[in-house]
Amino acid sequence: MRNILAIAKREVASFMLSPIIYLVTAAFLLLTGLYFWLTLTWMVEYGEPPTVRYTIEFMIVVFVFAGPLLTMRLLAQEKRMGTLELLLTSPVREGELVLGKFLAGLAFYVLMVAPTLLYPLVLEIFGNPDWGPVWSSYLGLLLFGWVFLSIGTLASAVTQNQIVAAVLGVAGNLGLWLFVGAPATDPNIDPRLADVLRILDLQQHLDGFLSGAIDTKDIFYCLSVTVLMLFVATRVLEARRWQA
Amino acid sequence: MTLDSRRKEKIGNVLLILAALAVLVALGFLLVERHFSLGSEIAFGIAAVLLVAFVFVEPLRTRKWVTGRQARYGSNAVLMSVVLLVVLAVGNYLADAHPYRVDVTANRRLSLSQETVDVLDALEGPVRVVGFFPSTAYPDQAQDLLSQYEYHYADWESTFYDPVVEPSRASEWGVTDTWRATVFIIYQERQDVIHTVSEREVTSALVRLSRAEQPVVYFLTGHGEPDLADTQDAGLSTLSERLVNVGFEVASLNLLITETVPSDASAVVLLSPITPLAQDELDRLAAYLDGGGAGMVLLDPLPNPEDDSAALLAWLAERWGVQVRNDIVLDGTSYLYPMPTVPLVSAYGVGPIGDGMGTVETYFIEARSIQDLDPDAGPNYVPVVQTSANSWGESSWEELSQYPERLPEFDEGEDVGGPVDIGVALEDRDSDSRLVLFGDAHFCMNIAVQDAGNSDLFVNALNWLTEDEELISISPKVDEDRYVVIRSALVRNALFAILVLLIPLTVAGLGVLVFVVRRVRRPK
Repeated sequence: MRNILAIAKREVASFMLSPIIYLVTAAFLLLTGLYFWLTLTWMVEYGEPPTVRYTIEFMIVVFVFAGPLLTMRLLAQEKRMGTLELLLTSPVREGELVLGKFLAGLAFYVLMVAPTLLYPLVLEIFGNPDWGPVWSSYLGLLLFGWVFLSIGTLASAVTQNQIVAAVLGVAGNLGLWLFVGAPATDPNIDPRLADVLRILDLQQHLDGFLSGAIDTKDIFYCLSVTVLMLFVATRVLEARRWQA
Repeated sequence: MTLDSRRKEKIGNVLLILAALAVLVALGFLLVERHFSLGSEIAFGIAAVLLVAFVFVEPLRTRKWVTGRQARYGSNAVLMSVVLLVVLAVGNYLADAHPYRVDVTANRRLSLSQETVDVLDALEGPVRVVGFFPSTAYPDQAQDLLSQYEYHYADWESTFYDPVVEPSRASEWGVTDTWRATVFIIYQERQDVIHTVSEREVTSALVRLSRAEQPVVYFLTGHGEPDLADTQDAGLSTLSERLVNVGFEVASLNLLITETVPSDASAVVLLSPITPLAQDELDRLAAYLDGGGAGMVLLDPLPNPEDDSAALLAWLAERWGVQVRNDIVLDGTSYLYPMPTVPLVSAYGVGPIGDGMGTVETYFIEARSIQDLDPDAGPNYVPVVQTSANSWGESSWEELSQYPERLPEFDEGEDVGGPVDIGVALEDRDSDSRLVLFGDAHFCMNIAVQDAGNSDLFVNALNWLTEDEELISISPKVDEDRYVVIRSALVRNALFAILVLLIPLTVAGLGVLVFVVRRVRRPK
């Protein structure tokens, strides 16, 4: 655990010194701020009930693309710089390294998202939102962040090129977000296969969080993908030992 | 390496390439056909045969792959990954099959009532819901509600379309109104349609579809009423088809021939009689209703008051406390242009019939007005259809005879001023009997029944008359009135400045600061 936290701290410090990360965060907050302001205008104009549902949904779509930008350097940079071997010769196991890096990405993800808590606060000042769905939406945002960041961590583990890691991460996120569930709507598809694809479809697991219904199956799904991705990332790093 | 071993290696490579090609072909079949077919099975079989052939041709290479260092570590990693994958897959399957949900909304908006859960528990077989929601019809709220049904009933499948975005899909289902929600609920090869997605509406539809015995609705005959099989403008063939489609059995009944209303009757309908009812018939109808029965009476204006059934009007006044005036309602504000004698209605009284109508429009061709004779006594009187405040019941047939050359005028003291009731629901809780009364019958004849929500109104009224008592207790969940109000343009602009400009620029500024500090501190 100490090793994991040490790696995470070192990585967060490195995040804080990266100007690119600040620009990515600023761009993210600009987009989500604008989107929230537009939905706020719509709620005021049309007397719609106050909600952050659409903004959270938008943030998740943004993170399909932005998540891998956070994680692309986690392991790929260590490989490119040749510091991965150095790390692995120290008393740090591959699993600890992967977990530490993932936790660092997660910490920065939380820092990125934290300013958006201002949005429900604005709704509270000028209206009376239902806070149950607000908190459940943020829980969904956090768990979906786990999924995107774990996919990005795996992508970063398989290559030493950060651009390739980002592209692989976006492809993985898009695969779960858009493409896995698409064939399930085909009426000609085998119903058993459609059921499997429906369970795998990331979008299917979002509605409950956004509407205020926290479901164990949605939480279990997000945890499963995260555990699987981090496990495979660890195995990929381990493979370097016996492939050498 | 000998010539023989080189040849074997070449053959082995060819076998591997062919096996890979066979697997690709099999995956291609799967991708196109979306299920295992003969083609994909043959391709997978060929791939397996080619791999077995490879093992025979290249046993040394196979053994090296299987027992080598990389293979040992690799297979170990693959095996562990597969085990984890299986554990997670089984876990997800179980979590999907037995979900547990916590509703965190303020008024438990996403939890179904016990009545609905009981109805769902009694269902057997798949329920399919196909919803057409334009973006203006609050699709999110409807989908949230329907997802609750899916949560409680595993064999539930909901599909949603936007009829504006997918017009071909809408026309395939016969959806012509692209401005309101249309939801088809299909169960046991029967189908119901609703336009307001509330728990009460969805559960009521499920109850109707799952009834073992179809409710029988008798239409009285013998007084020149329109015929159920008549396909002409004044016939009821379209209404009859719609009623059968939504699960009613429709039959004719002549109370002069039959001494009592049959015991299987769920409701009796008297629709536009043009000759008076005999006292015997009326007594039989009254006895049925007093025994807890349900009836619907639709009366058109009759220029000759002698054609009106005095006994019927007297019974309505004495037993039900309502007066059906022999007038014609004219509406100066909401009417089917250019005919003020055809009022157009889009707001309905609060109650099960009106709630199910939403804001869909209905119109009535020359309707007569209905009045509550004593609001403080008698059966419970609920207006279902009401014309606008700028309407009135014109009782002068002399003036009406000059229409349309000369528009009748409202005469204080003689005519009834708007808003005028032209459809009411009456309920006598002592005898448990119900009566729906309309001052028009044209709206459910072939000439108009397919337009707007006309047939929905008739079906909703019949549903209320024949529905199970337990459903009446499912009342819509009333959420706190939620709003967000920003009146000042200055505040709006300030929010824009803070949320869209200040926060991102501050973060970007920090980034620039980090960049500058790092450059300054970088050793030269």
